[in-house]
Amino acid sequence: MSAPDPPGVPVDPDPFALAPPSAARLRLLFLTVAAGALFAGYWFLVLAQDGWRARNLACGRLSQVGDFLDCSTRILVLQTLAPLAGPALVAVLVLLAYVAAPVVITRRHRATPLTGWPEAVRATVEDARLPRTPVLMLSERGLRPWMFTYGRNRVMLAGCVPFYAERERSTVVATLAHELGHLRNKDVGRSYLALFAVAAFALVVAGPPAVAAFLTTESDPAVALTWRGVLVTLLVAGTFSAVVRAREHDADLRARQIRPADVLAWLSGGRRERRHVVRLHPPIGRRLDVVREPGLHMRSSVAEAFTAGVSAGIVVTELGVILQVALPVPAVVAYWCAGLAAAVPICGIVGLGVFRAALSRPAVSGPAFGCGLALGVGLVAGAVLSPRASARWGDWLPGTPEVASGITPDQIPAGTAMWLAAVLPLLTAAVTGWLSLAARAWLPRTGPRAWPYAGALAAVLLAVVLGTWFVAVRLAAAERWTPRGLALLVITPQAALLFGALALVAALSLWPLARTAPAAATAAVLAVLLLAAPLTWLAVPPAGTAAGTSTGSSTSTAPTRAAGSAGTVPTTATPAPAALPDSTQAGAICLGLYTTGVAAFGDPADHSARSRLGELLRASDDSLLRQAGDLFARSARARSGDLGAVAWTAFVRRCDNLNRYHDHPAADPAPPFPTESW
Amino acid sequence: MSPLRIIGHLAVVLAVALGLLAGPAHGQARPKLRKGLLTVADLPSGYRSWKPVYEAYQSSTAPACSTVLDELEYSTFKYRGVEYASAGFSKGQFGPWVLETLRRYPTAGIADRDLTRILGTLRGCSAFSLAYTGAKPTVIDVKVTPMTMPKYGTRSKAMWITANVNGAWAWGNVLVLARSRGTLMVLSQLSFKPPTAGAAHAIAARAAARLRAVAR
Repeated sequence: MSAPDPPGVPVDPDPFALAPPSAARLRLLFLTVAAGALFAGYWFLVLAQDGWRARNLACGRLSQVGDFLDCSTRILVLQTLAPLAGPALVAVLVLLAYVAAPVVITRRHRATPLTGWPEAVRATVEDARLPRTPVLMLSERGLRPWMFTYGRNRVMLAGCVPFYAERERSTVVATLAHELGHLRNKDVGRSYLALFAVAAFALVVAGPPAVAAFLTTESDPAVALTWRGVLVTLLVAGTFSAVVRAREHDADLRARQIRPADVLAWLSGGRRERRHVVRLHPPIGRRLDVVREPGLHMRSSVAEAFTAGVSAGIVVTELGVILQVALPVPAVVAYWCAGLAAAVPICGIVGLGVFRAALSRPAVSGPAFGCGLALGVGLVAGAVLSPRASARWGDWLPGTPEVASGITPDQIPAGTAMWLAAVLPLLTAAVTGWLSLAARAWLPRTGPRAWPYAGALAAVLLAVVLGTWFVAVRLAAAERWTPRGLALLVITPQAALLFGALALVAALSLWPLARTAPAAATAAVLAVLLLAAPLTWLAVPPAGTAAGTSTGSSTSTAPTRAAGSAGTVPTTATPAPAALPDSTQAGAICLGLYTTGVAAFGDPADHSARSRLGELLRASDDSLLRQAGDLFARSARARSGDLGAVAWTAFVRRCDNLNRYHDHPAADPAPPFPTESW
Repeated sequence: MSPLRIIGHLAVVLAVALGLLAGPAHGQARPKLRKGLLTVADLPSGYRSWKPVYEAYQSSTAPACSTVLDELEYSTFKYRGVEYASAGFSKGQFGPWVLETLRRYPTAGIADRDLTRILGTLRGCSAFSLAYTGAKPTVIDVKVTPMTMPKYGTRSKAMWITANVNGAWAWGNVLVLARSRGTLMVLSQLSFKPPTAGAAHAIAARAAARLRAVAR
């Protein structure tokens, strides 16, 4: 049974009214490690294998365009799934280490179960009210500190603990209460998993691809990949140490519930601390402050929001590429799914931080907006730091599939890049701001029970924001879209409807504020209207301005220009179809496609453009392109958008295949006049 | 640089210097060289003015050949005392392209000697390769073949030059070198799809007519 709090220790707010965010933080850390492992798997199984040259060549030699499409789809899906071997390898290593760790620790300490528990130990364990009675192990080695938790339910005690349990009862009880707090918070196993995941990331994920890049490509992409690997490793390790430090506070607060007086006396004892380069425990003074005032531990943190954003940015970038190919849904929906995978832990960290902060300081919303801005900036940084975005891999490794290479943010025109970088922090700040207002609206009425609903809605809002933004970045890296053209492409009327519905639900959920804080409610409604107006403007192009969404065609001949169009047929108005080279050479036509991108498709409603494109392809010297031309011509005659989409996919896929593996060199054009000798 | 090439350059430099010392043949004010260039009005519809961008390669299997072609089409090397004027036209993003350079030498003799030097170099350039390294490694296989075209100006030579890029695509170039008195015309008609003989001749003939107007 818990002892009552001594005088001077505040009772409210309850730090465990909402679950500590350490689980969500660790989940995001695991996702970051998995995202890095996905790229490592992609590197070794696809990029380093010349993009599966033999299989792709076999596809290109098929005589029927339908067979070619099936074949290339099969390769794309397999190449998408194969990198899962990376996370699987890391998971196996981590689980092996996790299973072996208790055995290794027990043997290393030559530990035996403690029998005949001292009275102070027994009483403290009973007061902890753990679901399972812990196993107390006695080490034969010296321990500093006296004890630590390991395995699922074990506490390793120094050999001297039974002796000191009588002479320094208060210290032993406080230390044991802290360790039992870890068990009560169920963070021991997760921490060990995270530790092994960080080690596996550094040894398996970050190192080998960088070394392999130096051995197989030139120094530029290898350096770009290496510094990203170093930064992401530091980020992952830093996140881990921050999580471990935060869980120490959580364990102290649990210990305070078990043995408040002993814990305060223990932390106030004026112990001297050794200096460490990387701290895994917070300073004693800070721990004492948090035990005395739990609200300090419940404030939202801008730094935490930023690092969470960086991790999430890497996750969405890597996962989005995979899901876009693996899921039979439009690209933006696949990116929403990737966004949701990151948004759930983000809400568990940043969102929960905002909600917990509202428990201790309900009237303060400023930090929530600050955290939202930091989260958005972190997401932008994560998009740049992602290993897949290190380089346009197709420029360095000829066999690189287009779907994996067209996402380097430095390819985005400066104006569009600045617009994209500015809009994301504003949107994430809107989500965290809404969450703060929702906390103000609902905490007084329902208490912490409102969190699961608010967190779920915030996660959905964030997922849509993240998915839409990252797919826009991907398209912007592949094509020279203006901000408006990009928005028109991504925010389809259906997407705008979804945004509107979510914004309406979010606004309606703030209705309790109308009575308690009408000014805040009014501001929220105005914010929704301000957000809705640009969406309406973006979703409805002015009459007669079907053109003008792109900055025009690039003079670059980079083959990845069409990457954004590889799986996406424009569904909204695009510029008038750009002319492709007047040539029968398949290579020249494909060069035109790489240069003009989706502009070659023209306006989806303009079937005559499809007819002209079909005529051009039907005259080409490549059989599969001629069949794609037939499909374009049929789609124009039948006015079928679906058939046009199939033709476009065949066109882009065949050009991708030719560009990567042109096994029949293009013939030189014949001279227009008779040749002669010198 | 090969000894023959050095001797060739020295001969042209010496000839130009002598020509400069001698001064204009008749002491008359000569028309501006730019007036001898093609204009958009001289070309079929659809052409627009265009400024070519020279991209330096990292290596060549025949440096003398690649250098002389760069010198002709992009004026990467200019002789002192020789007046240059250039124009470029493009019919869309993917061509065809027309590049024209006029060189006015001090005397007709010097111009003829330089044309001889150029042709002498190109004679040994039936096939060579250019390599670009860096982010997008590229190898361009170039072939130069003389062609039979009508005569333009006092002396002319036509060539068909093909450039095959990584074996993925290729374009062709109708290169016409024509001298009229002391002025040399370098006319390139580049395209993915070879022009018809009539179209190529029409542009070359129009350029030659303009050349004659300034070649006094």
